[in-house]
Amino acid sequence: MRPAGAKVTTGGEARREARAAPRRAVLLTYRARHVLWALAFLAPALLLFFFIVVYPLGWALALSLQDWSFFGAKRFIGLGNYVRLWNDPLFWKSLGISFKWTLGVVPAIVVISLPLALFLNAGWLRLKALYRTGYFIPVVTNIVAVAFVWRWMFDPDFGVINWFLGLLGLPKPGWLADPAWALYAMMVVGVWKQIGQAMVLFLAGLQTIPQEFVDAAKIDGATPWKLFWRITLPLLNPTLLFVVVILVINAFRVFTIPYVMSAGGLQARTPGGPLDSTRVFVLHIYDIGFRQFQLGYASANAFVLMALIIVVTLVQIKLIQRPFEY
Amino acid sequence: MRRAWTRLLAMVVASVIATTLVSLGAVVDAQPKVTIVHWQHFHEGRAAALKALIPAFQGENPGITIVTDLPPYEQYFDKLLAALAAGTGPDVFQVPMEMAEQLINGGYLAPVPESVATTAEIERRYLRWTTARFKKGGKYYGLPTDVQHLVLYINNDLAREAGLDPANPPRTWDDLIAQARKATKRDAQGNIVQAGLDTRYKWAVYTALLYQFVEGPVIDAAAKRATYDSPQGIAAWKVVEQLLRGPNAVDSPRFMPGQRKFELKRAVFYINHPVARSVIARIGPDIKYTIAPVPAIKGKRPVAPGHHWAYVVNARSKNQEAAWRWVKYLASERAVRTWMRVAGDLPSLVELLPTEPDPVVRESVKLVRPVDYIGVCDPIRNDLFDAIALTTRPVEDLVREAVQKENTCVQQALR
Repeated sequence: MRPAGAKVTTGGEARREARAAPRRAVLLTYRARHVLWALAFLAPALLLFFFIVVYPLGWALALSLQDWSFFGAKRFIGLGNYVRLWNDPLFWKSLGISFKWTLGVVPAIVVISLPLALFLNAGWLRLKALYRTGYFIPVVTNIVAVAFVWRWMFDPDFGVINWFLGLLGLPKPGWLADPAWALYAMMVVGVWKQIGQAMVLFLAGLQTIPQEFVDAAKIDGATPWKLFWRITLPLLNPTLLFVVVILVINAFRVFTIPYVMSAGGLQARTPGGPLDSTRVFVLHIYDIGFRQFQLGYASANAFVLMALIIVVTLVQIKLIQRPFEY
Repeated sequence: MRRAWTRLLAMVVASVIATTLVSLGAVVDAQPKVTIVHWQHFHEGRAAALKALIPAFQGENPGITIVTDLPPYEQYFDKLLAALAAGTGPDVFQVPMEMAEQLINGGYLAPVPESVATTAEIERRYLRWTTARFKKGGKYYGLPTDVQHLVLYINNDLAREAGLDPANPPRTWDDLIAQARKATKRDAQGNIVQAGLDTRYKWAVYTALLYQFVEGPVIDAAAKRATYDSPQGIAAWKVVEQLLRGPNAVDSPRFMPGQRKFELKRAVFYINHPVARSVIARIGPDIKYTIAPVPAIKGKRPVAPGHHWAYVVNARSKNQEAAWRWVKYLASERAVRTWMRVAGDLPSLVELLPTEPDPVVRESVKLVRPVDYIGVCDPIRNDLFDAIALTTRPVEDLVREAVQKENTCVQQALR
């Protein structure tokens, strides 16, 4: 029973009206609406990114232009902190140590983990999962605990490493207590810790290389050596680039290993010691910020580190990246 | 009828009493609960004493709960100062005397209220040197704790094994060097296997020397500079050189680095605070040791450098009344007795000095010269100590470089 005066609408008319109505009401274009919807969906991530990355970064940049310790008022000094670090011998020393760490640790990891990945990718190998797990364990082990264990292993008097050296009749270095050896001892731990990660990435890269290429090269009589240099390595280039970039960034950001191994526990020793021989750049920033309480100067150093990592990464991409076609 | 009335009256009275009791209970329950966050750096003996004090205080103050955080010494200042700067610091914390000026001037500390202790009371009850640094503008900003001077520990068995008599301890630095050399043992390659003097706690060794050799201030607050590059200061660091350099060194940074050699029976002499007694009792309970005064300079009055910390209340704490009640308790006679008994601390209260059981520790208090270090500059002197041990550079050059760094550090602290 329809009420009196009610209009009868057919299905086709209703659809036409529904289409026409928004056209009249809409103020935004179709594209603008899409952008708004996209922003709405991205908003949670963007907000998080803003508050966790952009805002602290901006704050740190502002801080790097000020003279501020915990105990006094902030004072704007322009580029004063950047001028100061240029003339600070400890800045250059810690930068040099970080470069030394990078140049020692990154090539060592690549040279060890790539053959390891080739070995673990070999068709004839049994118990692959066991080996892969074994080599990956250091990556998932707590770095602080590991650094303590290595510190005991490097103990000059009671450490297992000097015990072995003694068995071989070799001299026993002071390792972490000796400025000449401390950094190298820590670099060993840095290499050990990251081999598994690089190995897994290389393994993933190796498994993307089409088998046809390998088979064709073998039919053409390529030796394993040539196969590696002409087929495997060029096709592994994107993975190699990724691994090297990640390792270099990690190397410039290294902190926990030198911190714990030089001063962790109740040792009454200075982080980065002995005699600043293991004062990597992040430890230098930490020392200025949280031990000398000069937050402005520490922020300026942190920005230099960020710029350095960006530049080094771009240089690496330029040098290592090779175009190739399947 | 009368009986019924009596019964009714009894029921009414019982109801009223029950209601009153329930209401009173509710009032007691409704008392505000306050949580006081307490930070201090970890120390084996002092952590044990604190553990004993908290339940006693909470029992007497049912509305207050103490929550502690005891980070290792190495991380303590990082954590504390970052939290203070962010406005999230603890209600009560412990700070060393050398940071007093920075924290008071920075406005981080609340003054001791008159209700807790009057100025006159503080000055009468506590050793004067344990409160002086925390006074500004006629007000005190903390009550003393962790009061320490330096003494010499001797492992009796190892000393006798080396042909020394622990009952006749070294009186001068020359004696100590000679006896420590005699007690140092080496393997066939010349590596130390038993240290004559445990120098792990570098601060104690160079502080004992500096405050004996340098007659004026070691850190001149008025001039905002360190003075240990003076001939007297250089002479003090030259003793460090004698202890740590060359074939006659009595310890080495590469011998058991970072480990407690004395407590592990690998060192004969050890300069530390009386509080080290509690650590020895835990790590090496079977060690028989003698406590002697720190060696003096020949012909001069002996000096025992003194150092202390203070319990302070965060100026931003929302629970200042309860926080001060807790600090007052920590510095009270009852608590100080616990600090002495469990941790091996010296008493901060004048009246408790005679109760210190060790006569050398007790008598050495009369020889105290409080340290005048300013700011967190210890790492500079620690590095100087290492540089003397690990390099062959002239001591004079190393000291001059360190003094320059310390001057900058002191100037930063007193800005």
